Amino acid sequence: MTTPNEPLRRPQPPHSAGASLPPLPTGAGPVIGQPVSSVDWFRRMPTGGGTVFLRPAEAEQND
Amino acid sequence: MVGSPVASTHALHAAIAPAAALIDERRALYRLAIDLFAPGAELSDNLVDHPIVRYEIGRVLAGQGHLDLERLAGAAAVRVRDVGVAVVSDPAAASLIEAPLRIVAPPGVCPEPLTESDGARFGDALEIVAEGVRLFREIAPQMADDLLAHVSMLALLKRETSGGVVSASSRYVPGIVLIDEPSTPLEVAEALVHEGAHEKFFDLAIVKEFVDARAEDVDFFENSWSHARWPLEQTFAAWHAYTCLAQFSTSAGTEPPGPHSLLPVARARATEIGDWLLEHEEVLLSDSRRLLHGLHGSPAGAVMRRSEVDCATLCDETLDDGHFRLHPDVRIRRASTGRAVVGRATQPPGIFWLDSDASWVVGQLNDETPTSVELLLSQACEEWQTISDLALRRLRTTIGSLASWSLIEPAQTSEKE
Repeated sequence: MTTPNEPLRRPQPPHSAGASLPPLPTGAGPVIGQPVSSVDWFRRMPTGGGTVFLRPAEAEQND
Repeated sequence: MVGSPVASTHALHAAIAPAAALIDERRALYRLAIDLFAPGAELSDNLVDHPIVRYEIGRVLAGQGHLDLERLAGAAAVRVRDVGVAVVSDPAAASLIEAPLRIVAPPGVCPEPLTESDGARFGDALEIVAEGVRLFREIAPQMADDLLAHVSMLALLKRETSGGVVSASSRYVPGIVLIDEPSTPLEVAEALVHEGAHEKFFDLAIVKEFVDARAEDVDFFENSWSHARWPLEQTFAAWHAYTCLAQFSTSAGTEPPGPHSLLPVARARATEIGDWLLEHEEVLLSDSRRLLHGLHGSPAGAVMRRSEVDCATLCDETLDDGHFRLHPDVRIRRASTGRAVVGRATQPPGIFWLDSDASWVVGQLNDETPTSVELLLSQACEEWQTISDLALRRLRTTIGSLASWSLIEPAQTSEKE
């Protein structure tokens, strides 16, 4: 199923590493039709990060 | 409970984004990350769908470390057996999929993958998985198409090492599902519904408007059956999974569930969680709210509102005589759906989805020659087939929003082009 696919080049340093992000627009809420939607999923790092279904005897963390 | 579900999960998912479109846009996002951190490298669909590749790219997008292309290539070498889903079979799997094994492991447990080095035991388990996938497709064919599109890989855990894990997935390693060594096909089918729902959610969350940082400020949900407390994002994921399981349970009819099955309790739990989510929906974004309302019901008088804040506008003076260009470190990828995803190699990196107007505007600009709003307006009238006043209003909103996120910037020019 998986096809090895050698990437072609070594990574280069980011163009402007260290630059700060623009601030979130204040009050941006659960809305429709925003021209720009920031993806902050990757920046959020909740503890664990796993959704684990355990057998009932071990089930405190069950989702 | 506010109301009965008004649509099936696969229909609601497709209304937000058909699975093929969602995956195409997801690939555009990961390829954009490659453009930012390994310019010139091109990844095949197989590689850009690979859970470990997505894990490595996700770490960089989180601002954790750098992109190691050799590591990506190594991860892609993991051998699998295709039995309707790609099952990890590689004897070296313990190291190749170390990250998801570590993340989902209960405390003090080191789950070991069952692989072809386990001989007939692996073969027997593989047959059960194949039958489980077939059963899933027989019981709920549309749901199977909808959810399995997001499962790139399945790993089996040796029963004596799984530490009670029935099934698991991780937002950090999206695309891989881990299950305990199966006993029956229905166990496998249920696990694929449960974890496939999570994988669907992970993809929706990075491509559509689902949750943002404000989700972390909400009180935790405490369930009534184990009294576990979950943050909002996990609560939404659990509600989504239970809702899919409840629908699958209805389709499965008289198929007898296993001793640890969630099918008999799925509807009640989905209802309990969904009611709580409705009370906290003010922090959900438009697409997650749409999913909640569509599958759980809507409170009376619920309306979606359009942002008055993010739709920033520019003052007339800026528009009358303004020139704009792309910010020099912005990179753009366009999905075949037409949507553009743009990124900036800041620390941590900034990734943004653009709507159709903003996708069009950035396509008219470059990072060298400033383009006048006047020129954009004349092109927009033609492109959008609309009168100047309406086009100007849309441009103001779009340019204002792009500028507020520093994706484009005003530019000085000595003369109008």
